[in-house]
Amino acid sequence: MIRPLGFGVEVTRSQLWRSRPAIIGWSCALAGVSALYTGFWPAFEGETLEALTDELPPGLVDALGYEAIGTAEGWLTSTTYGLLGPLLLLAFGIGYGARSMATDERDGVLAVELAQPITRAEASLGRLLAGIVQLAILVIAVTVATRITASIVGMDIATSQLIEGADGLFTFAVPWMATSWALAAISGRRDVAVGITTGLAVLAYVFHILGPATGYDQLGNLSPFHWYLESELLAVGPDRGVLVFALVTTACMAVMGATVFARRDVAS
Amino acid sequence: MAIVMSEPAAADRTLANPSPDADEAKPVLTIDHVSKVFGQIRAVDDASATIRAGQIVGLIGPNGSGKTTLLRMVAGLARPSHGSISLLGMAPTVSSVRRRVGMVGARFPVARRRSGAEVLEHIAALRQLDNTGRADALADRFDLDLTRRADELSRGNLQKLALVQAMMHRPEVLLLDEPTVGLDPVAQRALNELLIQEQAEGTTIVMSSHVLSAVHTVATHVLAIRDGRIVIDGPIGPVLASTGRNVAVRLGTRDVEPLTDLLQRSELRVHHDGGADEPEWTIAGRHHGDLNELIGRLGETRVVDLAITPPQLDDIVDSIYRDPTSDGSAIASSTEGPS
Repeated sequence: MIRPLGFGVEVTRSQLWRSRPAIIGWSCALAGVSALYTGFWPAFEGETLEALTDELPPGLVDALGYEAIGTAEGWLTSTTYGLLGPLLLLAFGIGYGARSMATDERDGVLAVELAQPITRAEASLGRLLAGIVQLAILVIAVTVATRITASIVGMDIATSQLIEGADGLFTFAVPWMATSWALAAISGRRDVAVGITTGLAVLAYVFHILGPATGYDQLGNLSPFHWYLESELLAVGPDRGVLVFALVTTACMAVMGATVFARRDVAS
Repeated sequence: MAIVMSEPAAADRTLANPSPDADEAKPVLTIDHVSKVFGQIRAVDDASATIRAGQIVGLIGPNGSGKTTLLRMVAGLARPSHGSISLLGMAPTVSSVRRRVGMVGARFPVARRRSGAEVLEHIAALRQLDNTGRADALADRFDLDLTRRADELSRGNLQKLALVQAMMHRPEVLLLDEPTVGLDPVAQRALNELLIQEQAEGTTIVMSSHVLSAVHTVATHVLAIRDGRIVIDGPIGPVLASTGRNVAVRLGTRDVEPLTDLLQRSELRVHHDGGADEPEWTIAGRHHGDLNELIGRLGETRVVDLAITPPQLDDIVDSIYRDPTSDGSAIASSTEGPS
């Protein structure tokens, strides 16, 4: 029997249903942060910020992405799209990835599902798909909140630029969530998944900051934060290399996680 | 003289197996030299058994004996370290086999805000059923209100919900891990009746339980595990018969001479109950031999009181689990045959 998506669709639907409170809460938080920083724009518009950043060491300005902070694109890239947006999405993605597999296994939810005629791949990949959908919802929340607030405060930013930014945010966050999900699928342990993925993310951020600040640019080049933030996010969207990296990483994690999960014992 | 002979419960399968052909039926579950190793621990050790269509197998054993691990392997949640399991002719890990299987595991976690009906709809969707089948009828039988939210349900009512989801699609095989946990006596009786009815309709049932009375009531076969090894495997009647009847006799005399050879051949033991002036002796223990011979020989003495009770699964627990030197071979050998 061929089942292209099979019963995994029901797993995805169920995950989304169960995650309603989390989706609403995180959407509100991200929309609020986006609206807040976009709303600050009139106070910082112009040369005030650029004059301030002129006094900072160039390496630090580079690392923080403050080069064009006096423009609307630069302001949004430095705040919503370059700092709080990715960090909050990272926190959500890592948490969800680990929780959806490891916590459900610990609580016996997976054992109940696997007593039904669904494959291990459907049970696991259905959860990953639900996570990707949730990330998309959160990114839409950021985009909509930014668009509305930008219109209210008169920020000169095109909707197409915000869509490019949303594309970038989504592309950045998905591989981290997939990594956390895969580690949870492989180990069955939430602490392992959250610990390792968070460790990798912090390391990547440190590389991104320390590389340019200390003159070791090659260190920064190793960091996904660097690849993500170095592209002209709100102008042309994420770099093609970043897209390929995100796609390959997510695919590798999906295959690895689903394969190991299909072969190991599941707690009940 | 008072004589008490306990009758088995109405639904007791010990003396009347309603499916005598079950021992000739096709194998539904084959466990072939299965072991499960966790580090240095052999949770299941070279277990082999064949369970045939229409049997109700009571899986009994003390805590940590390997019952749940064995059931988890049968359900496809864990893989054997050695050996193989065939469920309905397929490996249990094949998802399609679970279309024909219902399971109640050690826990039944559900979304707290979902009603019982919504939980069953979710399970039905996972099974790609058009509807929740006979869930309503089963819920009525257990007196379960499906409109109540899961976080309003007691432990027992959640267990009823778990039982309904396991049976609503009319499975060919039911795997039940401690199905009576949390159930009140009325619900336990409803479950027993339901299991017997399911079996009559051809369902094969494997249930692990510490509630030996429940196993005794419904099981046609017993599979006893100790330290991961199957020590008893056979129809429940012969298994119980091999443990002997429980006999307690109060004699109004100290003269047990007529019973000497009988006592030497049996597990009956003599105790002196009364004071020095009260010449009462008690003979108690298990009797394996001919009941008529026992009664005849007792007639040669002065019997004050006599109680003969049929063997219970507790007696197996006593004889097998509490005796570390016993490997169940005595019982196993007496029940050899198609199982």
